[in-house]
Amino acid sequence: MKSENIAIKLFVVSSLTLFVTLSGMSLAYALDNSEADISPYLSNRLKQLVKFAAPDNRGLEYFILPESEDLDSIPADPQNPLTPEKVRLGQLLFHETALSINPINPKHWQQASCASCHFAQAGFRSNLAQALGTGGWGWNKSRHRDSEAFPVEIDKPNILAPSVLNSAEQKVTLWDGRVGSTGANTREALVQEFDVNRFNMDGLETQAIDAFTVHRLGTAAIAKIPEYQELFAKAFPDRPYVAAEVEDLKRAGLAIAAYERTLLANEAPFQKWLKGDKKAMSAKELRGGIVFFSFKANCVRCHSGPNLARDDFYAVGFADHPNNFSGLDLGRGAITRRASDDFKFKVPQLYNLADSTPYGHGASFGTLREVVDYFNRGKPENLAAKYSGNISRFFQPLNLTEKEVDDLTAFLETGLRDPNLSRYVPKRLPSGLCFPNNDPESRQQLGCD
Amino acid sequence: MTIAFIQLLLLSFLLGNDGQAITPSHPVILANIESFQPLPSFREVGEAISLEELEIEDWREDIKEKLTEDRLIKLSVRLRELARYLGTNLPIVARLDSEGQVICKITDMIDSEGNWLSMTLGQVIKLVSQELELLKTSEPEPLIDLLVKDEISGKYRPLLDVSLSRYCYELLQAFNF
Repeated sequence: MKSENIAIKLFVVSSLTLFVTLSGMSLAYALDNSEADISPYLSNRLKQLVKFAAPDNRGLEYFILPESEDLDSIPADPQNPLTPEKVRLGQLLFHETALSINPINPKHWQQASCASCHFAQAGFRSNLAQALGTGGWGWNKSRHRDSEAFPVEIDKPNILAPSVLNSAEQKVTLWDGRVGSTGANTREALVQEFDVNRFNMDGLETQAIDAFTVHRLGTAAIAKIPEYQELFAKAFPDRPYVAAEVEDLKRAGLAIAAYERTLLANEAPFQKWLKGDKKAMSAKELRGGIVFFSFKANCVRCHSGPNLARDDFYAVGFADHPNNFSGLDLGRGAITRRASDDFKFKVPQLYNLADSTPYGHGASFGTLREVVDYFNRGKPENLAAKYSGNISRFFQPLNLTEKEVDDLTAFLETGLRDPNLSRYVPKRLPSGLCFPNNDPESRQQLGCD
Repeated sequence: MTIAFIQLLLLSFLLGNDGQAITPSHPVILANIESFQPLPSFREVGEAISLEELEIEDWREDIKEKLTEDRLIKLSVRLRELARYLGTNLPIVARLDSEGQVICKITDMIDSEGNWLSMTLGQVIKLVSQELELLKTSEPEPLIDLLVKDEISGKYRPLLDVSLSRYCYELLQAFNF
C-alpha cells in the first residue's frame, strides 16, 4: 500500500515536471517565432532611423567600418600612409614587451607593452579602473601593482584608459583631446603649441610617437634583432641605415599608429546587419538599436561618427577618477583654457564595451546598464560640472521605459560587440618574449613559462 | 622663478575688487608649491586643535544665511579660472592669522571615507559646489575635518568639525565677494 502511494506520487510529480518542461519549451518556441516574425519590421524601422542619422544622405554606408585589409578606405594621416608592411611592423611593436627598456626600477625591464593597457580581449581597453603599464603584474583583471615597487615606479594614468578600437576615425586623442594638430584642434592655437603636437600630425600618430617617452619605452633592444631590421626596412623603404644601438622612435610610433588604424570592429552584429545580413542582430538588439537612433534617446546625436564616437567634447557630469589626487578634472577646459570647455570630455567610441569594465572617464560605472540608467535619469553626478553651466543641453532625462533600457543595453553589449578581435593579435614576437605582458605573474597566467 | 610667478598671479586674484589687499583678519588663500606634501602619513600629526586655541571660536556660528547662490557661483567661477591656468592640483593653504601673526595653515582635509586629501584647488571647487547644492535644501550642514600645520612647532594637528558653510564664507571673504 505504502509503495503504491509512493509510485502514484512519483507519477504525479514526473507528469507535472514533464508538463512544465513542455509548456516552457512551447512558450520559448512561441517567443522565438514571434521574435522572428517581428524582426523584419524592426529591421526596417532601424534602417529608416540609421539612414536618417547619416549625414549628407550617405545612408547605411556611412556607419559601415572599412575592412582592415582595405587600407585605401581607412582614414589615414597624409604624413603616414598605410602600407601592409607598416601595419605588420606596428602589430608586432604594439605587443612587443622588449620595447619596455627604460623602467624606473630595473626589475621591470621588458615587462610591458602598449597592449598591456590596450589588449584585444578587453576591446583594446585595460579591463581595470586604473590601467597599469610598467610596474604592473598579472594579466587582464588580475593585474595589480607590483607590491614591492614605489608608486612613482609604476606607469599608471589617473583616468580610464580609452579604447584604441576604431580609432582611425578620430583626429585627436585622449579624453581632453590634447593630442593631435588636426580635427578639433585645427583652430586651437594654444593646443597646437603643445610640445606633443610638434609633428603637426593626427592624434594617433602623435600619441604613438610620444608614448615611447611617456611610457618609458625604446627601440634599442629590438634594433639588433634581424627580423625587426628587415621589417623596418620594408615598412620604411626610405629609411637610412641605422646602427643597432640607435633608437628609431618616430618610425616605430608611425608603424604602431598604422596598425592601430586597422583595429576595426567590422565583424560586430550591427556591422553585419549594416552590410545586409538582416539576421545578424536579435530582435532585442534591433529594438535597442531603434532606441539608440530614435528621437527619444537620440544617443546618435553625440555618438554620430561612423565608429559611433565624435571628435567633439561634451559635459555630461560624470564623476572624476578616484585616483585623481587634485580632486577635479577640468577636461577640455584645462587644455583650451576656456571656461566654456570646463568639464567637457571627448565622446568615446562604443564598440566592444562589454569586453572591459569600468566605464566613464572617471571609471565611475561598473556596468553598461549603469551608464544607460545614468543617461536615462539625466542628473549629473559631478556637482562642480553641474554648477559650471556647461552641462550639455542634450543631457536631459530620457524617460525610457525599463524595457527600452534593457534593449538599449543589449544593443551596446552584444549588438556592437565584435566577437573576433583576436584576429588582430600576432601569433609570436620576433623577440620571442611573452606578450602582452612579460612579468612573472603574467608569464604564468599566459602560459609562457 | 615659476613659484614667484604663481604667487604673483595668485596675488592679483587675491586683491579685492577695489584693488586693496585682503585684511589679515580673514584666512588668506595662497599657494606655495614648496610647501606641498602629498602624503600626510609622513607627517607628525599631533592632538586636535580647537577653534578657541586659534581664536576663531566665531566659526561655530551659523553662517548659512550670509551665503547666496550668486556669491558662491562667482566664487566657483573665480576658483575655476585659477584652476584652468595653474592646475586643479595646485595646493591651497588657508593661513589663519591672529593679529598679523601666522599661527597655522590648513593643508589637508578628510574625505567621506576617512582619507586625508591635500587641500587642492580641485578639492576647494568641489566643496563650494557641494555648498551650492545644499543651499537649496534644509539638509544639515556637513562638517569638515581639516589638518592644520602649527607654524611654531612644525607639527600637523587636526581641526575638527568646521562647517562647510563657514569654510565657504571665509573663502568668499578672502576673495571679497
